[in-house]
Amino acid sequence: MKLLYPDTLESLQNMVAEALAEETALKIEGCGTLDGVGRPVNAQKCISMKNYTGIIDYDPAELVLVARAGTRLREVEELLASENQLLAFEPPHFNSLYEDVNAQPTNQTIGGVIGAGLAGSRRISAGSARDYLLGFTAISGRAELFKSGSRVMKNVTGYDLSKLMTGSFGTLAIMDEITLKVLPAPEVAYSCIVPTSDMFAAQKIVGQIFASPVEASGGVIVPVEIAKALSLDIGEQGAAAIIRIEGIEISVLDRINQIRELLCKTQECFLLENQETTELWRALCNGKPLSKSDQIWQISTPPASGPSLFKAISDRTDISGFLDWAGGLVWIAGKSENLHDIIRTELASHGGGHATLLKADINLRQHISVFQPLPSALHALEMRVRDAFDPRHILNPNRTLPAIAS
Amino acid sequence: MGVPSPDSEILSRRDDIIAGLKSMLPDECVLDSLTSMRAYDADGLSSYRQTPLAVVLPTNVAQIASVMRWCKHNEVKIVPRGAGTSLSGGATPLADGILLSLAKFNKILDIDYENRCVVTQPGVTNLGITHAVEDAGFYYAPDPSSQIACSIGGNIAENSGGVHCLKYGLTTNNVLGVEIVTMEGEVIRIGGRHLDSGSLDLLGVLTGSEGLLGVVTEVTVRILRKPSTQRAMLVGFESALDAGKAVSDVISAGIIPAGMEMMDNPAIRAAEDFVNVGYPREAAALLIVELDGPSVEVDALLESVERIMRKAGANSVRLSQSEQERIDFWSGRKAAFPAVGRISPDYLCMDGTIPRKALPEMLVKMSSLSQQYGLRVANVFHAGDGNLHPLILFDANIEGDLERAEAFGADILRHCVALGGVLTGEHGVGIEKRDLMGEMFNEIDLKQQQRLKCAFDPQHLLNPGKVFPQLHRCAELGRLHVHHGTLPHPDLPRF
Repeated sequence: MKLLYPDTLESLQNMVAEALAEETALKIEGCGTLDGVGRPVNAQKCISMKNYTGIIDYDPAELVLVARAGTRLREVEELLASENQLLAFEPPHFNSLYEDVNAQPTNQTIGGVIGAGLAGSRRISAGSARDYLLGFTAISGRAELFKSGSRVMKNVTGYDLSKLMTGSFGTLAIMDEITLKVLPAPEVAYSCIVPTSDMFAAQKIVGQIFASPVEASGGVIVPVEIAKALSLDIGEQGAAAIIRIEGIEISVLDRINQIRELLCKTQECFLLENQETTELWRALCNGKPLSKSDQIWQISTPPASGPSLFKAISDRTDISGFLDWAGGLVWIAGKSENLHDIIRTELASHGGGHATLLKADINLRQHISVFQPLPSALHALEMRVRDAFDPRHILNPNRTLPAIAS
Repeated sequence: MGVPSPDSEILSRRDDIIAGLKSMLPDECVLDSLTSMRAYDADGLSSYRQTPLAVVLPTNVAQIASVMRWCKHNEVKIVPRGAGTSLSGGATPLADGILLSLAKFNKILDIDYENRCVVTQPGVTNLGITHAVEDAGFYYAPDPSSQIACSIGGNIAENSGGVHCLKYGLTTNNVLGVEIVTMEGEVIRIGGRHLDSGSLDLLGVLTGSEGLLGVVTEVTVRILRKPSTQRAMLVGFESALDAGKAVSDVISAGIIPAGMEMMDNPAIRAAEDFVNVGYPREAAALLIVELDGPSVEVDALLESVERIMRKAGANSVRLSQSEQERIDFWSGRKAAFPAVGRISPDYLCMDGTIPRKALPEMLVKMSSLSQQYGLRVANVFHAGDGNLHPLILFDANIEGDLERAEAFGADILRHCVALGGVLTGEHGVGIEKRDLMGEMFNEIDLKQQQRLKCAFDPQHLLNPGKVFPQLHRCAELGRLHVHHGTLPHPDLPRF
């Protein structure tokens, strides 16, 4: 595959125009960290955005940062941290997940984060990548430069194409400049760990806390073996609820007391302070307890369905995993050849949602639907939307190709 | 401004079209007399009135699907309407189109506290959702000023905001799923009680699409637990520029209030005369800052906010001491539009957004435009997120006044764009700002947006004449002009 490294808008646009004229498929990537997500792309040329870098503007008082798509996530996060700000959607760093593929550690790009629509544990309280992309410029599959959105917080002028771009895996357009909303970083963060008999009990506790005025910024449910992998001592118990509280210190301590009251002192609860909390949630966001597995799934489902879905799948095959988003994000790692069948059938009968194959060898990704199959009318609509941006299917063809649900 | 001229061929088929509609719907669901249609001839942009071809009020999804399928087949246009509170003319009828009212879709279908969401029909009001869950301590966060009347389906169409979206986001950040009927009459469900989509985020692009892509027939929104404490602060400034700076200073200090509103002197006076809650009548600008959360947090942050305000030059600071007082503080702001309605026969409400730091510059520009046009302006701002609502005062009975007010408003919006802002923060483009789209987008941008429209509605039958200044035929938009290895538009400037 011929590798192309655009570093100016003109060079990027010319490369797409050329591919369009020749009708050659292009693989689009940042630094390749997320190469292992989605169906393998069969293309003659690859546009790598690794040299398309640079933070164009950062205005802390306006809560806005503009960066070119290939800018490293690490660089963005370091700059924000210097002003006590952050990306509130807590994008995971997945390089640890795919180290064996061909990713260079810590090279994940901001374009990749938006393209894959990544979000971490704070998704449940603060929103996802889609909620922080204020605007962008991009080269469409028609080789045209277009823009959408802006750099202000509140904007309903025209269709919100930022939403479509987020999570489209480079199949609609190649992003040039990305404008993000950023937020102040919390002053302190504490984790409250509640050992419980099983994951159902843990989810109940997390649900109870999210239904209270505590304003938790994360709620995770782990079975005992994951707790161990995270070096959390939960004694003889079978699972644990992990709740994160962030904000100004006086408020965080007050809310931890509220949690203790909610638990009616019947349940033990131990705390992790700042440094340990940061490390713990980094590990959870990045899927670290499962990273050695060859096959990893992420399933988004209604939060209350999480434990029963997890149990239904584990009753049928050997898996490990945990629940984030207060139960609504099910992480599953397994080996079984028919794991995808089991997941899709159990998901349909346990609350519904969508399951994505986050990591697997190339063979499996070629032969099963990596993303949730769509009902036929929705599938047809989605295909028409794709054609509106990339009529000749030159951008990452088939990468996200959804199957039609039978 | 205005809507496209009607198609005389469609008008001549009116009787057949009404007969067609009556064959699909019970008689009482089709209105075709001038009297019965009068209530539907305008939305909140009431300077523009138009009697539609007919009004339909379906009661179930199957009826909507058959009406839409029939209209597609017969090439009849449809304008969807929720509660008709749009301020941009999103639901302004077409003389040659059917007005599709969702008023009968007025039931909440499920309240799911376990998953903290509500599934509802689109005609339920925004506040109706909060009312349904408030006994359990929950609420629905987006709170547009019209929340007592506006429908949740309309909120989806317009991506409505409100005074609390600084902290809690707009509609798009609070909706989990929708069911829509497409122009083809297909019923499609997107999202649900879970987060995000496993594929393209069509939910995100439907939200704020102003009724041009599909008709929303069911909505799932997330609900939040009410914060344990809410307190508001009223801050008066002798200079509007200082007030503008204070807003930036609060955000720079890392504090995101639940709401941060600003009113200028004409708005303060109008509101105070209307509600009498003790706004400082002589202040050049008034800020209302609300914080919510645990009481220790609210108290601590209010202390910081007060310090910032005083440093920025505030000369009066009042803190709400009770829930009633907090509500009183807001009452003037929430009544600002009717209050201004009392001091002027008519007013136009504009809705641009600018970067916060450009607020002082915008205020200077606004007062020079006010002199230039000889029209008064009162300003209320969602200052925390830079969203302006200048109210331009005029008298429609004076020849040329409306046109002058519209030109004044257009100049304000042009200046918003020039300052790095946008034409509309929460009211939508509709017909009101349609002809200004070229100020913000070039031809390629607009064509790309219209290609999305073509994916949903290639015949431009759903709410045509809104949002886009010029309608291109989808076949033309789909065409590719490629010369080997050269750019499709070598003459266009790159930016």
